[in-house]
Amino acid sequence: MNEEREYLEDGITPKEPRHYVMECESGKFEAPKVTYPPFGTAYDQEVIRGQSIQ
Amino acid sequence: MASPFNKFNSTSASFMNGTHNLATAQLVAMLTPSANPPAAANSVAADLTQISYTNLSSRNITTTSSTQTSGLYKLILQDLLLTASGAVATFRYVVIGNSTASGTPLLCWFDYGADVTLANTETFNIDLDQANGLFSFS
Repeated sequence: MNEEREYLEDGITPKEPRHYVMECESGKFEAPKVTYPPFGTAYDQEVIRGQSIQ
Repeated sequence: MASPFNKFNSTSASFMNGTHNLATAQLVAMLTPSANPPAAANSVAADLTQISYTNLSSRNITTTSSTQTSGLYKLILQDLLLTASGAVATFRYVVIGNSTASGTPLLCWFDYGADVTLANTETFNIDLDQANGLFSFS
């Protein structure tokens, strides 16, 4: 029992009940993003050339 | 001020290793005092020093959804309002775990930032993010 509070005659109910709120932030799990340049860029052409050589 | 999401070291691996089925699991809030904060190395409920839950309402959390949209997964949970029916032991930290899985593996924890001692009729609302969820995974 918190002695700072004033209680009703029942001895257990505060005259001014407190209502606590804990705002919880959302968590974030992120996998590394794999991005590719637009199809047809020089990067792709090099890959295609590489494959054709193989 | 919002309480940051804190994960346990085991959390990520528990996702990947099949510990959780969050679509069907019963999640539960566990409370610990300031003298016994949760630690990153904790992994199951037995690792925590919890308070006595005498005079406290149910700590079960209702899952709203556990789905992905365009590759972005979110676990949306309802807020949990804890209500005292008498004096409740002092606590500070809230840990969320999966009571369906063996040993109640832990997911995350939050720090209220101060001691809370509930008296009869008082409440503690665990206000969870309804837009982004308890957490997201992309």
